[in-house]
Amino acid sequence: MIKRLLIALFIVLTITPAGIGQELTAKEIITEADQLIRGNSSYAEMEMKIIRPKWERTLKFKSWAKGTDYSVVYITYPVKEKGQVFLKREREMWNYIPAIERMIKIPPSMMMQSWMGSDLTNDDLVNASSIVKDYEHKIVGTETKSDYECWIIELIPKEDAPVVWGKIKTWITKKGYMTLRNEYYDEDQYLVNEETLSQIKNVGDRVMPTRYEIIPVDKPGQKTTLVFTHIKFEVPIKDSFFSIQNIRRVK
Amino acid sequence: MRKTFFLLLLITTGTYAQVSFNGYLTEMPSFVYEDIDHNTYLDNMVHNRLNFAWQSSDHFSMAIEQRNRFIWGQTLKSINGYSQFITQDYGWIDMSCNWASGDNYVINSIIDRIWMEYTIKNLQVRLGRQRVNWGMSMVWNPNDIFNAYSYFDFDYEERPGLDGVRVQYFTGYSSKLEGVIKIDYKNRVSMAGLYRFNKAGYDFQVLGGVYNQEDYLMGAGWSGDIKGAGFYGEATYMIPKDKKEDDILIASMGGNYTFRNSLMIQTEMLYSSNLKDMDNNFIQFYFEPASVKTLSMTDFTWFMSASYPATPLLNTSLAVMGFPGVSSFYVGPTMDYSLRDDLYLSFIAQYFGGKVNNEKASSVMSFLRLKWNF
Repeated sequence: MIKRLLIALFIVLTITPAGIGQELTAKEIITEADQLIRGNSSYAEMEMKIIRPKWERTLKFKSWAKGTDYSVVYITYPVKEKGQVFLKREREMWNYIPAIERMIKIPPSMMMQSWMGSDLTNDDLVNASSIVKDYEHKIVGTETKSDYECWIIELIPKEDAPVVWGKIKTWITKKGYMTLRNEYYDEDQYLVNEETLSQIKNVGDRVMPTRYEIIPVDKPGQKTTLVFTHIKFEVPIKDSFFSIQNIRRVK
Repeated sequence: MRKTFFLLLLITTGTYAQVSFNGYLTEMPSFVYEDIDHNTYLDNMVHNRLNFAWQSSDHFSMAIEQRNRFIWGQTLKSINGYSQFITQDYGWIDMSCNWASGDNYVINSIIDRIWMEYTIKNLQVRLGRQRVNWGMSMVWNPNDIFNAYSYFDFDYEERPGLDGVRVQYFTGYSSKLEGVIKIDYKNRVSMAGLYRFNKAGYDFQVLGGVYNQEDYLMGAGWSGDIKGAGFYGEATYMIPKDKKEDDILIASMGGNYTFRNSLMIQTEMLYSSNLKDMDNNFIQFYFEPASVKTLSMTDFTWFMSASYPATPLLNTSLAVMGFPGVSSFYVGPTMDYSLRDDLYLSFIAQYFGGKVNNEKASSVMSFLRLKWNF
């Protein structure tokens, strides 16, 4: 009998990551959610659509990432921008422009600039800031979104953190740590962007949303969508991949 | 016969795993007005660029890039030697060809890149006509000794290539040692070495060498930021071999800042010690094949610009340049409009005002450009 109980307890403890009765802290939830979309390393192919009431533009790119420190983005469409590469190492970022064969160091003020006219910033693109390290986290409620029970967590940037937002509110599923919604507020606490994540899929080693929709609140008819057309996690990438030698060679 | 062909095709596609082709086609009418003699010039240029690249393996790659232009109009007709000037190849091997020309038109093709490259681990050797871009600043690049260019030549961002060899050895993720040898159309040899590294959030470079067999040179450049604003600069010091002329110092320094709404402001200054007593020869400055020694027409030059994407489709910018030594200035507004993902319409104006032979003078050049990328 005792043996059975022990086995049952063992099973419960191993399948519930943080154990029963042990409340997860907001930071632990954010860390899990961040880990879900980052992995230790990843390779992705993405398609971004900038949608405005009267027109639409498409951008396609490939991205390689390792941890939070290293990433490379290679533009594949449109042809005018094709071959441009963005390299991020820790807090530094470079842009390689093949037409002029030059690598330009991107200063932090440029990170907040809209990326190629979209509702995303350069910073969003390469995940330069970390939702784990750069913010203080607090659980502010629970809510059901698309049939998933979610925590609502508030992220307030730490002082001196190189971030764009004054506050972020995020909805994370209790099962699977999937982010389903983000609200981005400016420094005056006004809601600027609403982000909805959908098309939940099994991408090989994990289940996650593969479509992002970003809507600027005060601009009706505008939105930016981002779809992962291919994503693979835990791919082996050497540190030397994220170098000025390789930035000229990625395809 | 057929079998051989398919075998060849198989080998070729197997070996040349990656072949790429792209380019653009532009149509650009231009209008020039000079108030000193009330002259006007109407011209037109059809400009096409073809880029081919092969990558056969991780080690070997090749590229050929060609520029084709059909220019006709009043400038060609009225300025003696202009046609020859714009089609001249300044490289060691003449790869420029005029297919046809008359007193008011010229059809020219020039191969401005043709190189092969071999890479083994951290070593990269590139032989042939190529671009070596050593700039750190945004407007004037005293360190860019091999491919100095005129800021005003906006329609040729690729710039001419140099004929020679470039060896790069990557010593770390953001550092490298580099050596370049170049031979120009007068058989003059330039040789230089560069070391580039990253420290404390800054990119740095130091370089040294011999320029056109005439001057020894050394230089340094940096690129980083101060409180989020880009901060960069370059300096090159040249010592004539024959000691007949003075040493020359050319230095630029600048910065830029991007606001949350994507408005970017930029400023830069240039000092060129050799341009103190330069004749006020604007035409020469505007059209001459650029050299690091003639980046401006006066010793001090300043630059300011603002660019703002009014919408994601429409980018606007305004640049101002001042040449206090010769009481002249330049104003250049531009507009770029995206008609489609691959089609852009641009308007570019260049206004020069100042004094020529102590008389007030000004000229306006304006261009309308339709550019299709493929």
